[in-house]
Amino acid sequence: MKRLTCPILLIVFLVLSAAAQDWMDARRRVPLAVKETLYVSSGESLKRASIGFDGLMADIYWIRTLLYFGEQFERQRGVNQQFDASQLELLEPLLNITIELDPRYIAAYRFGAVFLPEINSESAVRFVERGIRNNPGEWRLYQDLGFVQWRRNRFREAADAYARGSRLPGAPAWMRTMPALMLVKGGDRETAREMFLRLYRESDDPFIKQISEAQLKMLDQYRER
Amino acid sequence: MKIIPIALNTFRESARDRALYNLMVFVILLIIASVVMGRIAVGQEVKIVIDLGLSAMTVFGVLMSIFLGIGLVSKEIENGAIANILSKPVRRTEFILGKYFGLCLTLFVSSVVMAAAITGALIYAQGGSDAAQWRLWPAAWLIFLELTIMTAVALLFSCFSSPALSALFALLIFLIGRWSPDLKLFAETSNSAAVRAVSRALYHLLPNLANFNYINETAHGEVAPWRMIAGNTVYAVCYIAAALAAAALIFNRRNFK
Repeated sequence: MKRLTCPILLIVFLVLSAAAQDWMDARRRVPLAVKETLYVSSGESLKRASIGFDGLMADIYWIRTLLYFGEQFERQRGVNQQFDASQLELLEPLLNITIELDPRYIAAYRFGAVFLPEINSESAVRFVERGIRNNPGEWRLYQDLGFVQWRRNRFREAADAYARGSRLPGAPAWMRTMPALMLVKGGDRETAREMFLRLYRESDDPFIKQISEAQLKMLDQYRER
Repeated sequence: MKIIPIALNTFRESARDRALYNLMVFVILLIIASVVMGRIAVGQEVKIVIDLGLSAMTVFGVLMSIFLGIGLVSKEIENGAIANILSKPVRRTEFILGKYFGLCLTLFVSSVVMAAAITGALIYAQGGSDAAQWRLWPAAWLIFLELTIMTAVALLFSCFSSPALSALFALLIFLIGRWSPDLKLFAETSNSAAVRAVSRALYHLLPNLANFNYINETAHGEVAPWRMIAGNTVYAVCYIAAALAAAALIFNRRNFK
């Protein structure tokens, strides 16, 4: 009998704890709506506190950013059926901490370039420009800056960003067509035409030739009108 | 030379220590968890596996080196075995060196196991072999060097202090060592000449562990340059030699009667 005491007690208490858990689940109150808080707002302080594990700390903040975004997305969709990124108050500080901990966190800059313009377009530009300063060889950040400027209808600035990015090693061929496309969007058709003409003549890439040719035809049609 | 038999015996002893296995299992579980965390972090799997894996390797390796390092001498003193060992034709310095190298061998084996586990996690996360999986090994070597320094520091403290205080001192040395660039900055920017001199002396006296941290760079695809590895290896050998000389000096003067 003594041998069986422990196993019996184990089973009995496991069953009792499961029953207690179910009882508590049935009476669970609706959690209070607690406003999201950032307990530490300085990436620099966190960097010092991380005793050299700043890359890991940046990963933690990056995951926290994604979880915050996902949670807000679900919450808003549950209430309004549509998502409004401008209500994400903590997105910018969370992203800032991530890149202060790890200035080479490209994914964070790219995420910010997509969603920060809806909160504050000027700080979105500053955020991506900071990424470019920290990672001057990363052509994708110039692409993102061009995208942010395009959303602000700053076509000349967008064209400039694409042009700078297209000169970097590894930048895809289509980046070279973007400055001219931005100028078309901005209404500067003569400069755009010049750029497309130069691209068409100088490029060996069939894709660029095809795009440039199509754009030149379109610009010529505008001119004839 | 009795160093090798003592070292091998210490290796066997520490390899039987349950605490070592518990820590190793915990690290390997963390490495497996890093694969799951990587999936959450959208496109950052490799970075997170390397960051979390090498950080866990450092933290748990430091805990192993401190707690096992302290036990090297204090256990022998507590259970009275030290009198028996020293009654044989073994010099005290040989005893200290043998104990130290034995634990280093244990740490080397556990570091290789942990680095292999991270490599395995990367192979799983990337779905095959890739250069990223091999560039973590130079960073793992630097971590191993950091652990050997911490073991020497823990051994030094255990020669003159109680186990609890030795653990506390060694942990503080680890923290200060990780913040050593700040100590240097403080030494360079202070207005007081006395503070500058003291800070500079402390900067050179305490181990500069920040130099051994190449985790973030590795996670971003860089390989530790061989000059850096060579420089850190030379620094570690010199610092360890100094710490062991101090430990032997204290241990030679201790009275165990």
